[in-house]
Amino acid sequence: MNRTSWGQLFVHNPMLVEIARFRRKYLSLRGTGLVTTVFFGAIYGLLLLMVIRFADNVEPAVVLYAELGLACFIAPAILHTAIAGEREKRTWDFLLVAPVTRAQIVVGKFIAAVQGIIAMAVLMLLPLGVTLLGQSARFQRETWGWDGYSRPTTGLYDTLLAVLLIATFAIMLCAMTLFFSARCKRSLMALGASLGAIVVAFALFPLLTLPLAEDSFEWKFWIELCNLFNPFVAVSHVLDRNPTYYEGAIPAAFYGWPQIGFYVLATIGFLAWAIKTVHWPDNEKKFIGGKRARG
Amino acid sequence: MLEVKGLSKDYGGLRAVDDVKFALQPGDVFGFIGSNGAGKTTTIRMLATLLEPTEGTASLNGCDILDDPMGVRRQIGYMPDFFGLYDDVKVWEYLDFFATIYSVPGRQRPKVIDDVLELTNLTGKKEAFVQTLSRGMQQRLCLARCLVHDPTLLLLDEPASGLDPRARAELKELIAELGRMGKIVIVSSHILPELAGFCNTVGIIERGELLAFGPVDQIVRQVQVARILEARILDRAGEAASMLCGVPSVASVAPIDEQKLRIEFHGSLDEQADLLSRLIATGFRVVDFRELEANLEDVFLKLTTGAVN
Repeated sequence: MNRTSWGQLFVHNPMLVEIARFRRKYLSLRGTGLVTTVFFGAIYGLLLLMVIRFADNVEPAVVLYAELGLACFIAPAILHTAIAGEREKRTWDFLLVAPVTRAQIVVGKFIAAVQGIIAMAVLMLLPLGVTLLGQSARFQRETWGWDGYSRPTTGLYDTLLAVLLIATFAIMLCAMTLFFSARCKRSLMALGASLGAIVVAFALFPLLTLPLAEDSFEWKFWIELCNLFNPFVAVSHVLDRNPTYYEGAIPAAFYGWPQIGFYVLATIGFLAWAIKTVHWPDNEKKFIGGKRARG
Repeated sequence: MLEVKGLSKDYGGLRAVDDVKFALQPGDVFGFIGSNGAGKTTTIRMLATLLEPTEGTASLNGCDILDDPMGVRRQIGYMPDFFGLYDDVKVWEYLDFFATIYSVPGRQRPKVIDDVLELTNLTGKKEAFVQTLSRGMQQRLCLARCLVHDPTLLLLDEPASGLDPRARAELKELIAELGRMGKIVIVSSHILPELAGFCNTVGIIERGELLAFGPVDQIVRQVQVARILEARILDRAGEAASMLCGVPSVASVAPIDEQKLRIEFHGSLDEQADLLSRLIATGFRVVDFRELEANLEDVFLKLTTGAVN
């Protein structure tokens, strides 16, 4: 990507107005945005209350898994209507006749959603910080018999690495949902496809395969390899840097940055695919950019 | 200036639009007439750069729809026949969104929004949510959206469909005003009285072929071979009809009711005056004698067969 196209997509992209539209939708508490905001707000409030009340007993992992779980729902919730919904409402043509390219439309919608994910990640730092303080207080009490704060048992670097891993995973889910929204004619289909893919890949598959790893030593490595990019598995390894449990297992160093890199690449892949395979309405072939001069 | 140069569109083996050619100047309000499925929407969508033509092209002020679609898009405002609006946004927010997409500078946007709202008579609804607007108001809002970037060409596909008579009259007035502002306006419709009032140019399309194109009067004159006269004679209308049948410039006479006759006439205006004099001189008590002006509907019915693709 040269500097001109980078600028067209991320700096001088008129579709970045979606950022303001996104904020207006979710912060002004109107219509469908209200449901998502209230849902997230309620869960966040409960989580915050819980970690404050039981600060000594709640591990940082609880907050991180909660964030991961929320990301699995929030990304599809905010993006499934991004393109399919425009088609359903018959507003899609208005964007297509505007002087913007396919890539600008997709990237504008994606960046708008990413700000929501970043906001979520920032908000989750508060309960995470509380659990880290509670953990260090517990460590002091158990070790020295007096209250105070010291270095948490879960390393700060590993915790922040897990936060980054979750954020990049959530951003990848945004790109994936946008891709499904571009492919599907109906927004509910896009929502179903996104949630289905998440459930199958990150819940059903590990639930079915990981117990097999306990019983079968030969399969253990391969099952771990298949779940290498599962964020729930990766986060557990990042937070618990134990040496290998068995000979030949995937080393702990393979959890963290490799997953982050994979999620970033997958994000780029989904976005490129979404841009390339956007389905135009009513079996019409769309030609943004024209056959001779593609935009 | 808009130049349409042999636009054609095939869907599989079906030719939806066939070699459509015309040119329009600033200020022209062009009525695009045709039955459902005649090819109006396909032509408009090609001009809007939404559909790729199979053959031919079009250019707007030097920008070709194939070579420079972005240049064309900056100059057009497109209103489809069926459209939706975003939920949960206010009228000004909706216009602000599209003004930003069309790169209207931030400082100018509030004024532009106020201006288009005033033009479309929606100033009082600036803070209203779009879903609370009536159908007519939504139609005007959609037109306001088309105008935020001051386009030179407006493509309005069946803009008055589903509107009540008052909203329709307001929309007609608004479109006429846009023509007076120097914009090229293309309005498609199959409701002919809707177009007759404010279009200075019309095109009649059937099965993808543009059968006629030009100013309304010119097309009517071209199509109308014989003039239609209507005479009301108080008594002995039948005798008058027999007499008229013997006049060489009268093609046919048909009684409308007991007193009225419909005369198909090929003669000049002098001969028409002589015909009236002759009726009176023969003793017929003529109380009305006038030429019926052919309208768009007559022209449309004469030119088209009702066939669709």
